[in-house]
Amino acid sequence: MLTIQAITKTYPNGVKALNGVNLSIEKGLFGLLGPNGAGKSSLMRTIATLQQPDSGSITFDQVDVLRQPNELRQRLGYLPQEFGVYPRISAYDLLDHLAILKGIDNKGQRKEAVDGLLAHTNLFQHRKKAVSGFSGGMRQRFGIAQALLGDPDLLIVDEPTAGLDPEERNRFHNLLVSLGQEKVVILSTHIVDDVSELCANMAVLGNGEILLKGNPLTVTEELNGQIWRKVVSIEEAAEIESQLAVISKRLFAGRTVLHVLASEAPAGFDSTPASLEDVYFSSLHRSRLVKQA
Amino acid sequence: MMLSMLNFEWRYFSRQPSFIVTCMVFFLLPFLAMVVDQIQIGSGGNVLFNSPYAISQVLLILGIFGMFMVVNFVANTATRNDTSLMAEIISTKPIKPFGYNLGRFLGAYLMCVFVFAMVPLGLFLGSIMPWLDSERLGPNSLAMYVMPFVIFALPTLFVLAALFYAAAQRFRSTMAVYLCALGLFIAYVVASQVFNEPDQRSIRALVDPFALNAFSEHTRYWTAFEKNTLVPGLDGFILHNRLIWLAVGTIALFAGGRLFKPLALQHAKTKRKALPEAVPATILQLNIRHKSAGGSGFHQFISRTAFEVKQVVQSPAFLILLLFSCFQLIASFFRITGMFGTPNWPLTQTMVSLITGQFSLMFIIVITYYSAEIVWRERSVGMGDIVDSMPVHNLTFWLSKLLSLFVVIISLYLLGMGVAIVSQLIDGYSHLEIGQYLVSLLYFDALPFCLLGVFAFFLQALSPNKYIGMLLFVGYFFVSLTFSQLGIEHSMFNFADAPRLSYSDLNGYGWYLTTQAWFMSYWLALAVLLGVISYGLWQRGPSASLSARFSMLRYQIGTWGTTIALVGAVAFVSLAGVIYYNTKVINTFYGQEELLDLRADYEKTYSGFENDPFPTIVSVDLNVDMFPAQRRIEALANIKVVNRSEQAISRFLVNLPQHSVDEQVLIEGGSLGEVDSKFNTAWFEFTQPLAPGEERKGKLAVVRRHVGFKNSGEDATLVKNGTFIDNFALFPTFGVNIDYKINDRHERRKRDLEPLKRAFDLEDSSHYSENFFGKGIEFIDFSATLSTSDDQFAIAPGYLEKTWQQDGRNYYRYVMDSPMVNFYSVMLAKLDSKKAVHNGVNIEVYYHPTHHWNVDRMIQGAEDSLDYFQQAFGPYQHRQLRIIEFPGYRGFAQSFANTVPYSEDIGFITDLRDPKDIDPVYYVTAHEVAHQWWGHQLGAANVQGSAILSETLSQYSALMVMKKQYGETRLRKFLTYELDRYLRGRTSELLEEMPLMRAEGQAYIHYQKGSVVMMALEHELGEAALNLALHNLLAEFRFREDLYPTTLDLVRHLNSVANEAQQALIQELFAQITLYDLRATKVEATTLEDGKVQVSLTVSAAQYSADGKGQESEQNFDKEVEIAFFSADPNDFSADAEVILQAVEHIKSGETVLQFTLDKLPAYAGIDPFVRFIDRDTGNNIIKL
Repeated sequence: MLTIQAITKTYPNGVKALNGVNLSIEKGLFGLLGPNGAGKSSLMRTIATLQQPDSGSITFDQVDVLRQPNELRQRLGYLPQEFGVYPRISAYDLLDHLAILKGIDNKGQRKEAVDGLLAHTNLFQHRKKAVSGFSGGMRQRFGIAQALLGDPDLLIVDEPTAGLDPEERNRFHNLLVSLGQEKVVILSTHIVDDVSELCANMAVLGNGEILLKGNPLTVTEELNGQIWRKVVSIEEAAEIESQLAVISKRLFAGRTVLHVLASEAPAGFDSTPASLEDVYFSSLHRSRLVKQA
Repeated sequence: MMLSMLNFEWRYFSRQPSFIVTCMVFFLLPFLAMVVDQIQIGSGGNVLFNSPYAISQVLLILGIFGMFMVVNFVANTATRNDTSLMAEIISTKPIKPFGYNLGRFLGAYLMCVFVFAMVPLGLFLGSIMPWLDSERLGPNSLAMYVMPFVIFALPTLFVLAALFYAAAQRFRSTMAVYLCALGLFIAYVVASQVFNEPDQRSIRALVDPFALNAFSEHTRYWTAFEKNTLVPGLDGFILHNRLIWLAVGTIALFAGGRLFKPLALQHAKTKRKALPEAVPATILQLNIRHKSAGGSGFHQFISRTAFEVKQVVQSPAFLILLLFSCFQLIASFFRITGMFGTPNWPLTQTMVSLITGQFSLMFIIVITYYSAEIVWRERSVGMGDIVDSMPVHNLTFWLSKLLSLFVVIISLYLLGMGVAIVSQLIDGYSHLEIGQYLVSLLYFDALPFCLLGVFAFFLQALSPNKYIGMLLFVGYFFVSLTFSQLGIEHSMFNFADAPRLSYSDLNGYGWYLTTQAWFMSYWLALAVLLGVISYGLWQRGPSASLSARFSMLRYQIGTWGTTIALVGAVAFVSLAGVIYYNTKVINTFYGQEELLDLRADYEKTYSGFENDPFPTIVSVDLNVDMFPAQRRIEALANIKVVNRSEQAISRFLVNLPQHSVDEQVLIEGGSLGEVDSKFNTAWFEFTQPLAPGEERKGKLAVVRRHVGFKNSGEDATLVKNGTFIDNFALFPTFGVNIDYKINDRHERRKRDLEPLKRAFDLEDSSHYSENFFGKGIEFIDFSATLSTSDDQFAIAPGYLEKTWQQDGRNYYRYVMDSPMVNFYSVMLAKLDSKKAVHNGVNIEVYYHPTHHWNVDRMIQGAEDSLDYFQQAFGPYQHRQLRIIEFPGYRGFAQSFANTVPYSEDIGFITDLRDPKDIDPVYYVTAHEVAHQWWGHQLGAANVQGSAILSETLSQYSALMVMKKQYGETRLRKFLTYELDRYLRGRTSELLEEMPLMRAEGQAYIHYQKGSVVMMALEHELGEAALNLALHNLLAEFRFREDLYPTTLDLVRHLNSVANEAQQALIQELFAQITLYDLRATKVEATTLEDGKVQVSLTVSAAQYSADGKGQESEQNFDKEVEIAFFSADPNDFSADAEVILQAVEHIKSGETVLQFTLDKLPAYAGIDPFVRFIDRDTGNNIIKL
């Protein structure tokens, strides 16, 4: 459905945000993982017709995204990573206005869609309040509601669950899964759990390049048997890091838990089943090694 | 603590873009004011570009602009912690409040000082630019820049900063501070308008935080010499003003600045928690999967426009803008001052021009601000990514936003109209002309601003962010100000420009509807083209580069857009052709410089022939057919000419009239040669020279008509209703026209012309036989046959012999039976009339139906004048006197033989309901009637002082009629005005001030000084003696053509009725520039036992003699001066101030203490209360007990 070919973008300040990105995305939920500054938002914006790449092409269901932005926008839902809202306008009025912009001309349909989306995002009881007075989580939910207006065929959500409490996050995930079957949904995030919970396909983006793509299950299985774990003190951790390929380091009950990528078990390390997080960290780790080499 | 806060403020601000931009603005404005001739502030004439006066003026005026900079910096500093969400962090730090707050305040203040220091810097660097005319620059010195900066800028900035800091601390909101600034500005404007009477000026000087009024009072009568040499110091009004405001600032800072208050968080407004509302379960079942219907451009456009308009209209900034405009207008409508401080009726055309004036600069700011605000709204609020990814065409965004800008512009004008109508009604004026408001304000004013809005949008669309867009637009505006300097004056080359409307109640919109239609269509076509490009390049997404947007231009504008752009381009080019053809091909257009060059060339070409003789016209029989609807005159004059010179005339120069074709000059025995199209002149060659004294017959013929339309230089003399044209404009004139000479000495020097001699020397008797109307203008026999369309009547000097109708046209035959100067007018209009007969003289007033208020007053004035002048000076030569209103394109009244054309702008619209005001209608009428004696009976030789004989004597005559009608006390107010205008007139003298008897066409001398001098003489010599002298002068020269009088003759007759002391005074007043300084400094009263009052009055006196540039030297004062005591304020007419005692005392230079015993306690005492002396300051003559 969505084909991204050789997208490259360098900003005027010299930062190379995207470097030959190729992706082919079918219907369903697609997770785009990457650390801050990896180029996720650049890629999202490029697909959402808000930014022209230096080279490359994007097609969605026969629409040339870069040459025919207006055609794509009719089928697009987009939730940017950060956004603000107009002052002095209520949630209902703003969503209604956006619905008109989205092209839902029929008054009855529009009211149905707006009311429904406000209810789904748990904002219905706040619909008469100014959006500018919303808390961060409420505002994020409003963003989700507007992205879903007009039942888009291509839904791009950039860090959608940032600022949501666990309950709201679950609610959103359910909504996304129920809607996501017949459309292309791209979910950009740095929260690995979001991807593992929702997505049938994923890619890891680092330094503007695709480091890894595939089905989360498959890629995780491929890594099984190569991840080793050890619980150490903080002082020990520093020493081990200098010797082994430590892909992640986290604290648990005041001690440091190290994950190391290796084909054989290093001394004192226990085997541990690979998680998607290990996949993510190991691909980042690998790309860093390539950079250094 | 304080220092580190100071340092922090500096580092913070110096990195803000707004800081750099304001620095640039405050540098460039004064720099341009210094280097661009057209935007001179304070300088001009003999006042040097870099005079201390001009520098102070620039600093003071920019001080008002500086207020907005101070608001920005101070409010930013005071509220920064809250707005940048740092408050929680800062408040938890262990900070001593006083040092912290004072440091922040001083930091912000010093930032303002730093930015404002750009002003003297810009001025200084401007003044050393090599291309400036070195003759107009004086030596630079540090004090010239530093003193005004220290005296004016530093305290003003402090006051503003302190007030705004206090406001910001109190209200914790930037908006509140802006409102305070606005309030301060409005108070300042209103105070300046309200305290505008001469005796309230000291109040005005003190209540002004910017010290601009204090400075203008301080320098009110400064001559060029003083402006160039004196650096303003801390004394008088300036000192008091500064002290008052420094105190205000300090109090505000310490009382309101919360310097000692511990830092605390702003109390967050506790919001009412929304009650949990049960959400009906059915709502979750609603279908949220309605598909986008696609290209529903219309719905989107309607919704989007409504949305944008709401965003604009509901924002607090818009409300402030409306309030601001409202106050600004109310202040300007408060009292529509006409002549001598008397108000005018609030005519719609006046209200419209006030609105236009108040709004013109403001709208540049409005468009700059709103175009940025509206175009970048989504980006600023953070909705950009969401809204930009919606399936909405660029055109929808562009057009809806543009319309919301139009809403701002139009609603401001409608507000202006509303305020104007309410003020009209409050003022008791009920002739509302809604149609005129709508056409003038919307079609002539709002439309060009809307087009400018399209241009601003275009610049914003090209810009990467709103600041660059604003900068581009403001930059364009400043560059467009210099267009005329660069010779780009045609409206075709200045975006959205068109010939500026001048409305007349008589003639309506005249030709302006035509020009406006063509020029607006032309700019509209360009706006369409710019509009298509703007929406084609509309920025979607946060950082779409211009080149990327260019690559999508074709896609975005599509076939329709391309077609429309092409249509716009073709229309633009075709309309350019039409305008060019009309304004440049079939009509002529000269830029200012071009015109000056042409005049210089004329002078260079013909100055050698100035003294050549030419025939004098002695008889005229006119035959004029007028077609007002077509603006066409076919005129024929049968003339007789005589050679008055000593030599035979073989050829003479003929200047052909403007806007005319088929000009013919036929004189027996000669013919007109080829026309020089550059100067529109030709030589008339006699085959048989005209011998001295020989008389011949001839004809002048001309067709005056108008084709197409003009960019400027329209013919205001020939209009559809209210034609008023004199013979010099209508017919070819003979001899070299010395009026073409350039007056401005700088312009002359630029063109290698000799310094101008404005008049022939008083003693040059070779010009004693020339009338002051010019060489070759004499008394003539006159008759005229006029014809016009059947809805209008025509008037020429003379008596109506018969009138008839023929072929649907009106015919009039006028014949003059008494001598009349060859200076006559033809008038044509559709007007109402009122007629009266007074002692055998028919008095007629022709007026526009809605201008009916003062017709009776004019008739009264004419009757009283005729009575007084006939009794005092001699008989009136006519049996008729007609006053005829003409359109306000020209704003004067002028006296022709038995005919006085009178502009609609003066007199007719004066509001005389308040008896306290001076009655300018009565005065102007009396003055013009007096010209029937002074000017039409008594000529004047064509030498220095000629206008004294016509204008000063007419002023005197009018004042005597006024005095009879209104009494001496009320004449005082008039004379105070006259003295003030004389003293101010001499401050802007371009060449050199002359003594009265040698005045060279200097209006401030022959009108204003003349009034004061003649009334002083009247007091000194007595009415009877003075009138006798004038009567004798008139008797000697009445209707003489061989020899005309000069001011020497006037002085001779005056001296003949004067004693020796009086003759010395006449010498001082007429032959020298003498100024006096009389003051009442102290007064004390004690009540005596017998109930009488003993008053001791201290007065001081000084006398100065000035040279032509205004340099003064002190003289000995030794004169009789009037002292008077009043029961009430003599400036207040309604109080009916009674003179308790009027005495004449002998006063000498220096202080004198006088003792008086009065019957009752006076309220006011004064020296020279009736303005007999040319006192440099009449404000200190009267003192309150």
